[in-house]
Amino acid sequence: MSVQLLVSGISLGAVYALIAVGFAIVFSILKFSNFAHGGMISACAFMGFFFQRMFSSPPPFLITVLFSALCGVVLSLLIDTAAYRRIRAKQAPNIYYFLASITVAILIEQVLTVFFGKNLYGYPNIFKSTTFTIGGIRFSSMDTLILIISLVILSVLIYVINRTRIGLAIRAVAINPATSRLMGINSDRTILLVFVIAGALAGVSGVLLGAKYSVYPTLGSSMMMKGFLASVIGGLGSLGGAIAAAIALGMIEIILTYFFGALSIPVFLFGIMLVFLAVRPEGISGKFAKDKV
Amino acid sequence: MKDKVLKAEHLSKRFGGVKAVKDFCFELEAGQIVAVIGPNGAGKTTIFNLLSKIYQPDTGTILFGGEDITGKPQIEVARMGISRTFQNTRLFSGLNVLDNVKAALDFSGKCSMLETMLLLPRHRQHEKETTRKAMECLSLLNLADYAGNRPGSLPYGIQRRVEIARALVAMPRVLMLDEPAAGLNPEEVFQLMDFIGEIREKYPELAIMVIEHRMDLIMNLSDYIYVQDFGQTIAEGVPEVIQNNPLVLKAYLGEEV
Amino acid sequence: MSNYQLSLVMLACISIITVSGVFTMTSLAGMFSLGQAAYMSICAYLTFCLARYLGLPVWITAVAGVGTSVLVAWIISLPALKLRRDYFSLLSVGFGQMVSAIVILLGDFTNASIGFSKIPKVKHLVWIILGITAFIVFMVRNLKYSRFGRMCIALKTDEIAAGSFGIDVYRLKVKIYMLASAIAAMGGICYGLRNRVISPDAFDWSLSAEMQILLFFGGTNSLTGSVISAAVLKVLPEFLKGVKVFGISLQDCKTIIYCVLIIVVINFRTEGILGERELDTKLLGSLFRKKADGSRRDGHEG
Repeated sequence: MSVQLLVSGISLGAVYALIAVGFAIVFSILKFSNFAHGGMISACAFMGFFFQRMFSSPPPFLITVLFSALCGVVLSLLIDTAAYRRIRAKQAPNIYYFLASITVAILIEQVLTVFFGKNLYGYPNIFKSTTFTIGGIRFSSMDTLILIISLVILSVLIYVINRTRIGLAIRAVAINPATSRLMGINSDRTILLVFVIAGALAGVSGVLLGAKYSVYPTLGSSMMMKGFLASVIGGLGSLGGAIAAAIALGMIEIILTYFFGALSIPVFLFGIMLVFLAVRPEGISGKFAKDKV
Repeated sequence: MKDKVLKAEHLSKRFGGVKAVKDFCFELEAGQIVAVIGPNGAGKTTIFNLLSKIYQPDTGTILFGGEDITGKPQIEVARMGISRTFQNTRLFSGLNVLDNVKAALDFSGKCSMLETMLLLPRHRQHEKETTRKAMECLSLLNLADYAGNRPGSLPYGIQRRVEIARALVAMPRVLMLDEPAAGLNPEEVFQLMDFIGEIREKYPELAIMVIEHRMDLIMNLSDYIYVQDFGQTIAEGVPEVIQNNPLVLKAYLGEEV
Repeated sequence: MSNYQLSLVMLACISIITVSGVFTMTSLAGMFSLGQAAYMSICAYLTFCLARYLGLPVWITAVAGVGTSVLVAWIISLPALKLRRDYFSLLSVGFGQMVSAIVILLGDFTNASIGFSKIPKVKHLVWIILGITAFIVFMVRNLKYSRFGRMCIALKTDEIAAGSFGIDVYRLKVKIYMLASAIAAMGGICYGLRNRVISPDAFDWSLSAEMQILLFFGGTNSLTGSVISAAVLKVLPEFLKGVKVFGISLQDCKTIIYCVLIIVVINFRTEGILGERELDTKLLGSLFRKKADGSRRDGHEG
């Protein structure tokens, strides 16, 4: 029983990690909290769902994930062009980025609500059986698949960020866009790349969450808070920290839901947020907490 | 013996691996103008930030009118009577000139938020008082004509003077000017020197501390000079002494003296 | 005036009240909160539940409701205001979600998602709400043109410089946050009295976001702009009832339209429609008296 909880928790945490990373990566480059990420998650969940339904026999799940990631990329770039581009050009204070992202998030949520109503849509079954057994312990197939997909993507991402030139460019622009430009790094292209990555991550998270729970318009925004919290606890500059925190959060949520019910989650979440942000706002790894003097 | 208005002993401050200020000691008397000069990066603004408590010192003590203010927070020290301007003019862009100056008086207002919202007498009295004091200060410094303007619409030289007026209106005991001549053309610098001269006349008890690069200003106005380089005081004395000090000339090699 | 029209007036008023609350927090003190709806919720539920279960009149329990909101605001603001601006905003979303969850958890009293209904009718409600609205706008306006307004705008522009003039930035922000929560709380009561039913869904973060949107649309620093945009944009969709575009009722799309509008405004006229301009009462006066006044002072009236 407890092993199942553990696996379920880790797999949930892995998805939160995807969200946290997508969030954190935009934050580290543009220094604002991209609320629209939640909206992208919801939108991609829907798009993945309809993609699967389009065919008479549902295509392999991985194809759906890929498609959804693609949708996420397109959506992300669209949002940047329509909402953020001019704000960046005008060098307006950060608050406008934030306001724009909130507006986009609401916009997406509303569009989804208008077109699809407040019903829940469930992904069609992917597996022949929902559980499988190893060594006497039952595992949920869905959770395991989600865990594997998330871990693969996260590993690829960490590799890209830390070991490739593109990743280096991203890290440089995160520290100082102006200097990076002087060093020959194309800041604008790097920013676009970051949005692409964030969009892809949102797409994948959307499908995975949609398959695990079900698809509804506010899916993204409810999950996003947890992703945000994970990236804060981990320390908004640190990818590894965000991932670790996300997995921990996933486990805590599963355990709390088991003992106290789903409604206890927002209460605990806020409590953890408040205490943590008050005591150690820099997060475990320690950057970007108080407004610079 | 006159009690020193402001006195610092063995102040030091480090940021990460860099020691910005090492063992700084100085004294300031009422009515004096003391200058802190030195090449860029010598730690001068850090000294100001330490004295006005934007930063807390790592070591050392600061005495204000004999009282130890080393541990006190910025707000308390400001209310006690240490006032300053900033290297890049930090006027409040959302307020016009008059309101900028009134804002410097507002902390001492006695009316509560509720009284204010209901337009009760204490609020109206505060408004009358602060407007009067602010206009007086602005008129004294020949800035009354600009009272209704937003800082952004004024020439830089005027903005600097408004910043000084804002720093003076609450009748501080110490006024710290951080590079008041930065960004001014030669004529504006002369006007600034006259301006500071006027301030000395009209506020005789006021002690002034200045950070500057413009030697003409420093040599003409200061009573005493501290020369900083790499966080340390390499020389101190009256202007005539400093002008001829070889260490100072060396630190400033290439600069106009 | 018909009941329907009176109801629209009240809708506009409630919108004005809540946006005024946001004005004090955001335009004066620079705090961006998405939790105002949560304070509406706390006060509304407390007020009407106490009134029903203890049999007390609403105007007495309202005091308890507003008082509790302010107390909660105080407790939250103490740690939360030490944070950087966007952490604070995200925290406020979490706060809103927590309040909704608590309302549902206390379903025995609050009737959870079904909604707490049959709130008693109040006679001459329109006049009461109009009065409250006018009063709140009056007070917020006075606040802006006072020492608090100046200190707030100072700290919004530059916290360090404000501190160097003895302005206690932190304590002032706490006070303003508490004031904003009180205003939101009163908005919550008016909402309940008008709609006669409240539910947790009515007070979610998108309502808070809507208030911010109305504020930024009308003019980021203009109380007049915010009030006008709050009233007009909230009531306008009602007139578009029955208009259908591509088979979708326009009213359902109203939030979508708001969002598009605000994105356009942010991108092309960042300071909002009225920007900084306020209704200058002296100007109004001189217009009425047809005085050809020579010099006019620009900007902020001291």
